[in-house]
Amino acid sequence: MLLTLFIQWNSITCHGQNREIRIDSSFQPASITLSNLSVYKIVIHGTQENPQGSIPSVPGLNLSGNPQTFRSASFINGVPSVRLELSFQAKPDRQGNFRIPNWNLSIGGKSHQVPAATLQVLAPNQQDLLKQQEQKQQEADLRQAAFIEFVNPREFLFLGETVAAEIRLFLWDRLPVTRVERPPLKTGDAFSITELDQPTEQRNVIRSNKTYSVFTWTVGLTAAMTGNQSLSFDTNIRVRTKNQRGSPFNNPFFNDPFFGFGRDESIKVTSEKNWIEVRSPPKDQRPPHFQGAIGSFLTESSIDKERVSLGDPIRLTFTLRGNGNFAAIPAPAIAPSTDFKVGPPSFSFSGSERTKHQGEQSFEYVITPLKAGILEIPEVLFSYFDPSKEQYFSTSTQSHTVRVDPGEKWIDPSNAPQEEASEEPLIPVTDLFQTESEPGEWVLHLHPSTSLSPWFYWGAQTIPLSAFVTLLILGSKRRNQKRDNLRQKENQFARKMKESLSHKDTELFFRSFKGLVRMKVGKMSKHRNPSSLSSRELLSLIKKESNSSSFIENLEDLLQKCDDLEFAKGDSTQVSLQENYQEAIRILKKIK
Amino acid sequence: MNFLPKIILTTVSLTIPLSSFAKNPDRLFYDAVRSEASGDFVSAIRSYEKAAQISHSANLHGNLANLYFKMEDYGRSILNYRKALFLDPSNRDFSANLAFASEIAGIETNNQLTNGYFGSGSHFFWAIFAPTIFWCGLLVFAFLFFRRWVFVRFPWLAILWIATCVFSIWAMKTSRANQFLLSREIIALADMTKDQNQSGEIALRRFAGANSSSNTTVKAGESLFLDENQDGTLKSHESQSGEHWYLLRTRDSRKKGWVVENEIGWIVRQPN
Repeated sequence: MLLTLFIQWNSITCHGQNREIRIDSSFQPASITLSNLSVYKIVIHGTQENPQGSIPSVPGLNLSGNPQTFRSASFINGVPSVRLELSFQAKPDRQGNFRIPNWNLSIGGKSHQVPAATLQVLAPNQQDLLKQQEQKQQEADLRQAAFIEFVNPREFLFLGETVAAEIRLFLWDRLPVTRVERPPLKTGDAFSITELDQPTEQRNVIRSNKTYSVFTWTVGLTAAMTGNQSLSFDTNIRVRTKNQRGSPFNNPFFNDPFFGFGRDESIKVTSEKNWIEVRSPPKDQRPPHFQGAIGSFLTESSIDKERVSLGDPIRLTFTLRGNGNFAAIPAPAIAPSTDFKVGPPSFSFSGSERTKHQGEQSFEYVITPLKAGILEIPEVLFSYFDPSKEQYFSTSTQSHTVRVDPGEKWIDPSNAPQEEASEEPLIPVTDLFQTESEPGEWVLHLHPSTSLSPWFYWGAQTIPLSAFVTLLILGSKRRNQKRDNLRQKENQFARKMKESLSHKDTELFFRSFKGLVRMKVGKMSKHRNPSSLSSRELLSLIKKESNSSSFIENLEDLLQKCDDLEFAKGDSTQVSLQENYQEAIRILKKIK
Repeated sequence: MNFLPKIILTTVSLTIPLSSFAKNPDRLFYDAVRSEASGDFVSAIRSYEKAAQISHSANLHGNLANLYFKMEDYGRSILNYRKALFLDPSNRDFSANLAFASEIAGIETNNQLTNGYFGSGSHFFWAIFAPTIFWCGLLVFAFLFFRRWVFVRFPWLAILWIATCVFSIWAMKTSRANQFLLSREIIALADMTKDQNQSGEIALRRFAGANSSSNTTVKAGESLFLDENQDGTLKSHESQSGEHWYLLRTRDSRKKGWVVENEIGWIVRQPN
């Protein structure tokens, strides 16, 4: 473990010491009141060797003889760096400005200049002023320590246009950044950008007298909404601060803690709002086949075969080359034709994968000829808008001619004519082994058939079954009702016949008797309307049942009396009701 | 650490559409058509087979059968024509191609289980038709009874109804039997790993083992039917090497024996 640490430390220091030496100097804090102390700090980047030299003396300012020394080594985004810090305690004797001029240090036998530094000493009652100055300085340092810059190559964009833009993250070299937490995020719905890849890194970039490391992401920027639109970016970086809570920028020079003592703090870095004008492409003179392609393109087309058999597919490749919004260009349309069936195209892009802005986009169509002969492949129609020339262009592919031979034919042997010697050409039955260029309807599983659920199937049978049972019950009830009615009528007639005896009502007696005979004969012969039967019909039906002649004679006699009384108005007083009643009962018992 | 869930979420959200796109059967089908157009039959077959593992279509199996026929693998060609005809029974091209491929392979085609008035595909129709006729007739008679009609007046109607009922029930049972038979039907396939020069016949072995002597042989592309136990499960055996063996026979039961799973192809479905 120790050996590993030692090797790592050596590799850091050795690698870091090969870098260019740079020296900074300053007072920390740069403004104090008379009774306080400041520190004159010299930071030597790129080496850890002990320097040789003497600080120029400044009247009224006392510097300590033994400086505090800090050596540090660290990795910033994988790049090793070393530095040496010398801190001298500074005590002023009076108010005023104390300036230590440029002076020289000797490191490894070479002389290096230490820049000048100034200390401002105020009266003891100006403590608040100092605090305000310190706060302003902190904010300014924070803004300048890390910021994002967005570089757009064009003054304005057209709706749908794609350009290659840059997002640059500036990190001040004095900022103890341990890592960039995430690539910058976009704020602004009017634009879309391509995915951010690994950034390129550039060191020692001077901006406002400060040295920065710059991380650059190249993106494809596409305008999605017209108008004057804003666009900004933000990211988070991780910096190492002292082990104390509160602002990580208590000291803008970020006293680098010794070897990881201290803590990491996440800082949000934002860019300024960039206002970009997005214009709509002109609507007049817009070609009918324009599908949103914006850029500068060259087109080309080719086919893989010039002679095929009927049904064999041909590949037509249409290629776009140049700069533009490749990611947003749909497949160009093919002029409709009855000679071919055109399948959906496949896409392929080669070129700047990061921005999808420059390169070559290919669309491959599978075209199947539908008839034989010399056929012209339909042209691919493509239109685009050139933002630099601000006008539309339409192109069409060169014409391709293919020769389509008839497919092989197969004759069903069973249907073939027996006379093989016949010279008549065989009639083709069907084309064999033709490739279908469309998959057709997809099914997930090959199941024998749509099988009905047994529960559903047998459950459904209960519906007609219940209807059948209902009809049967209702029908039975209806039939029983008719029988009951007949029985009631019989009883009614029997009761009336009996009552006619007590009331000596001859007419009622014979009418009731005849009604009873009709009911019984109707039941016997299954007549549908027995009440309509006449005496003659009743007798004929009775005779069919082969009853005895005396019974028929008696019945005929009684029926005759009934008819006489009803139609001839016979004398009812001469009839013995009691005798006739006895006879009627005997007759009725015999009719079954 | 706070970014770990976000990274996982982003990765998953990017991976899922990519993987689903890669497994799109349409895309695989078109890739296969392109490969076939460029003459790369092996890649085309591979793409079709991948698509067939996800989903099925008549044209997919028809194209696959054409390719196998061109590669002279008649067993798989017939198997895929049967699948294509199962999905599109009325396609005359598939029927003609199947007849031709069967003739070249030297076997008789039997597609009656799938097609025809009493094939497995018509079972659904008969299963609806038979009870409809039965109940309609019964309800008509019940209605006549309710209206006190005399049945003796319509004997021909009753006879016609009974005859139709008997016929439709017979058709339902026949189509169901064909459906059941189709679910057990498999096609004998030549082992792709073996040398092409070896005979394309598949051995029906006496026992479930590669070293077992064969009862008899069948040609690649021939229809065979799986034997079942009394509880409805297939008569199968798993060897120590993990191979599944199935006991099967021809439809006339003249040939019978054990076959390993990679020598057969399922027309309808493979048991789990």
